Amino acid sequence: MAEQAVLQAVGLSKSYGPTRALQRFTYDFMAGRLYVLVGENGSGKSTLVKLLGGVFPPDSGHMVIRGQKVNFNSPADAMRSGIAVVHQEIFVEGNLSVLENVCLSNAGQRLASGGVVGERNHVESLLKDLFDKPPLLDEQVEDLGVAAKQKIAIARALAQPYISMFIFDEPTSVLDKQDSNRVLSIVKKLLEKSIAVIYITHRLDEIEAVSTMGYKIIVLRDGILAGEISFSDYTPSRLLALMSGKGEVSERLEAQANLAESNNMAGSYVSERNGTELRRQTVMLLENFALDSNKAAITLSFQSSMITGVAGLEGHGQDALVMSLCGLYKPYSGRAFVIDNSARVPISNYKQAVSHGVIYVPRERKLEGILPTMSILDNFAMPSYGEFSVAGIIKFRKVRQIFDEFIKRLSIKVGSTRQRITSLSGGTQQKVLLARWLARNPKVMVLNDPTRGIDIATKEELYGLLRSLTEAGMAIVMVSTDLDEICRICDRVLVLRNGEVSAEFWYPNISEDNILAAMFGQTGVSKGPELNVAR
Amino acid sequence: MSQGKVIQLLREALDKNLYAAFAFIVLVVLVIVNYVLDSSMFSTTGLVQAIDTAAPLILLAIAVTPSIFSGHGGIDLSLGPLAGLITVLAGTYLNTGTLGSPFVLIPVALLLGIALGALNGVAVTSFRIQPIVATLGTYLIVTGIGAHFAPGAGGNVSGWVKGLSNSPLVVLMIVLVMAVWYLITKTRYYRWLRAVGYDDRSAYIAGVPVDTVRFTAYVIGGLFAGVAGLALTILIGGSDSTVGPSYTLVSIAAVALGGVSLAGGRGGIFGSIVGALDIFLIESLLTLANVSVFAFNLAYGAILVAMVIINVLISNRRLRFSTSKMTG
Repeated sequence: MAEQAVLQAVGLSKSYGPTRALQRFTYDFMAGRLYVLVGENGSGKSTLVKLLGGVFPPDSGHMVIRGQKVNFNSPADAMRSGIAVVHQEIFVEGNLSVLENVCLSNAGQRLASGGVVGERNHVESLLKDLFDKPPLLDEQVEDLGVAAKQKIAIARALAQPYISMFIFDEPTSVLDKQDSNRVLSIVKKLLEKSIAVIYITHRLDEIEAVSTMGYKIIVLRDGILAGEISFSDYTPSRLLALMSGKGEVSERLEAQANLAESNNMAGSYVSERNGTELRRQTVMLLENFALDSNKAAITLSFQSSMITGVAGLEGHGQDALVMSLCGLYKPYSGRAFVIDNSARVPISNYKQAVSHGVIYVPRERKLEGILPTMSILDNFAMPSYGEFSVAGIIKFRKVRQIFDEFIKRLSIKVGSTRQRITSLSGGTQQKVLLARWLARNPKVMVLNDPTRGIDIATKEELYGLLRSLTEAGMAIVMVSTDLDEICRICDRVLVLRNGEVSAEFWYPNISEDNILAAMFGQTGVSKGPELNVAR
Repeated sequence: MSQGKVIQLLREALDKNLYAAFAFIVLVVLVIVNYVLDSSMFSTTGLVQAIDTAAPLILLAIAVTPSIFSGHGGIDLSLGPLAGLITVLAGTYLNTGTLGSPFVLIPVALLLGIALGALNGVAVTSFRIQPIVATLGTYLIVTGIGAHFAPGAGGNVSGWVKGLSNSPLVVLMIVLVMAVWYLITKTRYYRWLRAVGYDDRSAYIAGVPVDTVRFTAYVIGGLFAGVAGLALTILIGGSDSTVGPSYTLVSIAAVALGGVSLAGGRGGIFGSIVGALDIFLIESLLTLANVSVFAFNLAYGAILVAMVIINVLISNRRLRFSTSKMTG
């Protein structure tokens, strides 16, 4: 019998501004088959899920369902075509009851807010597969824990009256082992009903767990379908190689090196990192740090003249770690100290952290960084206006003078400093933000994905700047989702997994493969010296 | 029905309306104080008269609830002026001959409400105008139209309208609106409305037609405001384009007082009704105390603010119990 495609994706593409999230994705999904979709952060997995689920339409390309070309204008459209999605973000309505949440998208019973027996029984049977002890149907969902909410989101998708394709986007990231197994047996049931299942996971152990029912592993890299592996040929190393795009890495590096040279910035910092012995001393401590009661507390120290990279899959605690350093987040246990004139000063809030020379440049430049309605100069000087004022009156001449120095030092390309900051490119905005904080002479700079959404040339300039800052003695702690970047500029890398530091690598043992393997929790990873001592 | 079943139903009703508990306690206190000071309100005729007087406010508070419920700054300021416009029509145009028949005035009032609700709904959903701006626009338009046809008070309503003055029929109107709302709460639409009010993005992902749901909320509110216009006509027995607009802010205050979240998704019309009764009784107490206009407004405002603050404190406390912070 010829296999039947339940859904064909034809050349699906989607861009967010200059970022191409997904490029010409073409694939046929067959009935009753399990597809495991993997890829690094930002490889386009969630974009694909949202296109298939009708959350937004593709820029180009289309889908074919049972021989008919379709375009989804809303999630409701996709549902009517038989596509059920459990999104990575948990979408439940806290103010509704369990019953109302599960039946929210359901067409059908019009007079059925709390009564119709059939509805209640149906929901109860769905929940029984997901819960050891199901919550009461009339319980309000916001009173439940995050795992229960995730399971209710799954039950809602299962309650869809007609399903031909079921998509799980990291359904188990908040679930424990027992619940994860429940989800896997649901996958099995769906496959038996000839439903195509797409399963996204970051857990290699899960990929192994589904290997008996699995069909293909689809790998996305940088928005492109990098390849597929049949489960019969699956080995973890093959998968990791496909994800990191080894083989191509050297080419990519070469291209960037060429660009950097032509840019007159020369990839010189690499040689400097090799050559000079810098005098390092501990400037910051994070003592007894743990994000959760069941995680071992560890102590981390951060030295001057060093870039510490923080890597991990989305949402594994990187933000919490770096924000704990500057008093912006209160971890379950632990405290950050800054060494100020050889005295240990505990950090209790961000304002105080700044006064001791610890500054933080946030990830969401648009939301947390820039003041979009204000001028470039205002954006630069906002936190420092107090120091530039006499009796409350700002001495603008002085501010401009200082900003001009930074414009030269960071080669910020601006026309007039009175323009709105939003008239600049993302990379230049980031430089203005860096100048803002550098003007305060920090000792420790905590950066959260500083080069996200910035073009390659400006990235190279920023790398050079960060290296020269460390040579001048600054300690930099930097979250990055770009492994290539981490490998190139960091002296040390902390890899987080499930809210704890699972591995630590030091130059020259930093490699994309090492970090990836640790991110995905592969066993046999060698741990850094500090971690072994501290535990 | 067994006794256990009754208790269970009562418990469910209490659970569902816990958000209005504070407004309800205040209501009980106000009723007692009013009774002690002036028991005449609590005779049969006194009670009917009181409810008739409070009816426009109660109905407008109910009417503004669906739009507030729909979240994302949802609100409808134009419903007060609409009630005023209906008095103008009833007192100056639809008052003699065939035009004066209830079979003209009642459909006209209801259709006018639906039309205005639809206009507001389109402005908010299709044109994505901020609800407070869109409905301020229609507030001014409707006020202007009313003032054009009948500046100030005056006019003369049909005999059948006059006959309804101080009649229990107005109570029936409120009951009817409550019954319609009760049926709505039994539909899928009501779930959708609450889902949209709580988080429209999440509701959209769940396949809820967010714009249609919001639009419908404004239409339902308009319909109820049409009924409020009839109640107001019966109360004042003439046309007055100036009386309607003043109801707008008071009715919104009643909703807030009743524990309904102005951010959307939480509460219900029970709260709005209790809030409206609270406000009515506060007004009547202050009138009984015979205070000056200055003291009246001062006390009125202070009481309102205090009650809303207490409501916020209560609901924040509840939220703090239930929100769990995610790491990462």
